[in-house]
Amino acid sequence: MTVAIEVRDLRFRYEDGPWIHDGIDFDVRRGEIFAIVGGSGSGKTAMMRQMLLLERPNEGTVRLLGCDITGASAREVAATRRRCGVLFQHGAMFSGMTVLENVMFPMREHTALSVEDREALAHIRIGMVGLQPEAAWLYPAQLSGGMLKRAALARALALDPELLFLDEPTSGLDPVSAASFDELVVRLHDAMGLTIVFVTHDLDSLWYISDRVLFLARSKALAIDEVAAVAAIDAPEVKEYFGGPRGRHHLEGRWKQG
Amino acid sequence: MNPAAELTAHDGVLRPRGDWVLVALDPTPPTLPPATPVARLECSGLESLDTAGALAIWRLAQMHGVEPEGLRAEFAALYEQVAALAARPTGAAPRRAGFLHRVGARTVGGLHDAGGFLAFIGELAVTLVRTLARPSRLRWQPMFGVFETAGWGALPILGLLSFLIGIVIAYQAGVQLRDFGANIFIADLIGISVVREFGPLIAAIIVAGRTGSAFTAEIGTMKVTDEIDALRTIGISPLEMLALPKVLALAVVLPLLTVFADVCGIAGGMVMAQTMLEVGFYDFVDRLTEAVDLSDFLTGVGKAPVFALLIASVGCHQGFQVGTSADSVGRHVTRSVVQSIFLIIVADAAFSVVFSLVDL
Repeated sequence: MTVAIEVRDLRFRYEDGPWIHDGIDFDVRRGEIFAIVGGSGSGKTAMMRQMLLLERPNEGTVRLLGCDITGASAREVAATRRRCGVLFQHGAMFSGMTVLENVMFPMREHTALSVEDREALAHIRIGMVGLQPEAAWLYPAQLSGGMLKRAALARALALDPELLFLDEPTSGLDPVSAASFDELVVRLHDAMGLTIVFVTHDLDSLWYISDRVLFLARSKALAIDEVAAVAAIDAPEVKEYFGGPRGRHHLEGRWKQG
Repeated sequence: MNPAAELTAHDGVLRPRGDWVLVALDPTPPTLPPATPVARLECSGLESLDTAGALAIWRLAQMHGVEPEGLRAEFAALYEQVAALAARPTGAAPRRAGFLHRVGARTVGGLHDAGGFLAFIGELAVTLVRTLARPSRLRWQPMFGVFETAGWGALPILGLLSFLIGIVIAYQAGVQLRDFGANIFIADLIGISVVREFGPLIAAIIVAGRTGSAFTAEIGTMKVTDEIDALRTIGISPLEMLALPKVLALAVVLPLLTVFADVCGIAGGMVMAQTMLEVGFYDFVDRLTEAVDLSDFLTGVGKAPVFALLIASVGCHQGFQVGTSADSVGRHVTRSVVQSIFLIIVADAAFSVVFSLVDL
């Protein structure tokens, strides 16, 4: 099986609002880093929320790892969710627990591992995301923004997921932390063979870590391709997105290299 | 097919096979007796490997004092990383403080809290004086909000509870009075106890639970989302904007609610007096006007603004004490309700002592 996520004829709107997604199809292949981009309000986050079944599409199907989550039973959905990890934009760490307890929490709920094993695995994951061992004993309120994202990533990886969803992974980070977070994502992807879907506004991440990009605009999938190919498309939304002062240096850099 | 992890040993060669992933290793990975002689750890049979699997392989290697061989290239990077981290000391959890330490810390914390509360009241008073000097700065909109939610919104529950309390007192007192044939004095008993004590207390306790907690939660959530800091940077005093209107509005609302509680409580007593003691409404009211005079009414209603100040300032103070997390909001809301009800009863007792001294 080479397809991790399959979205077909997806239509979605909030209540009686305008269609946010009006017939969208795409596949995410196993092992790729797939970015979802688009202007503000183009439905990036809504798309991710549907893949996580936090919102239900009005029409169409979403298959995650071979399971049609829009039509499956609660048990099948739960089993599929166990194979997915999610990093929320603001971390969503449980504020009443230490980092270690946060990372152990999914294991406590979903496995029968002994406390010692859960702790050992949690410490390893905290190390894998580049946190110092002492960080395990801190509460989320005591962490800096960059550390918080890393700790949240450690929790997302707690059950060794096959699919990892990242919502704006580098938002709110300074450029140095953002770049090292991108590096971390690529390293984990390579080591653990993850399939990663991420929503971003950060053009740097988009250029450096994504294999393919889904560009959402006008309620449709405007393009699904490698980032250079998408950036070259002649559409006003794409030009605005990539051609702004912040995007231009990437385009110019590419052209000079080529 | 479900993933499965296997482990075999043959001629001193240990072979993990299959899927060494979390699902297959839950709850315990396959092991061999420690006495098994092992010369090599041959990992070429691994189909898949994740962090949990890598840790299990590393532990096997440690237990038998060997290094894994034949790991596929795609697993080697993960294994190296996990092995390095598994060997890293994790450090011990911070030690829990001893009993004496905790007692001391709580005592100091409690004193600190009390000092903080006094400082808050002082600050509030300064803000009040400054605002009264320029009444145009007073914020009416939030005050009307408090009138509506804390005052109007509390009427049904307050009315019902006062009515029921009136019934309860009348019943308890009525049993005694009937034995002495002093039925008509039920009006004295109900009138004075409700107007002087029960009305103000019930109103204050309900408002502390309904409104004091809401003040804490509102200000506390604003603290969590940095809205308080945003106000400061815009140059607005959070006390003037958030606390003062609440305190002033509640000082107006609670006396009104107390009057309402008085009326409902007496009504409850009247109903019970008629059904149990055969004291009719007319006789009851007639007796009531003789038994309860203006000073009784005023001592009761006069406590209400004091209770209101306590509730609102405790509620706002606890709101500003909230830290940065969701559970801290919960903790301070609890503390707000407990402290304000505690202070209401302490203040009520102090009123009783003072009134008895001046013979009111």
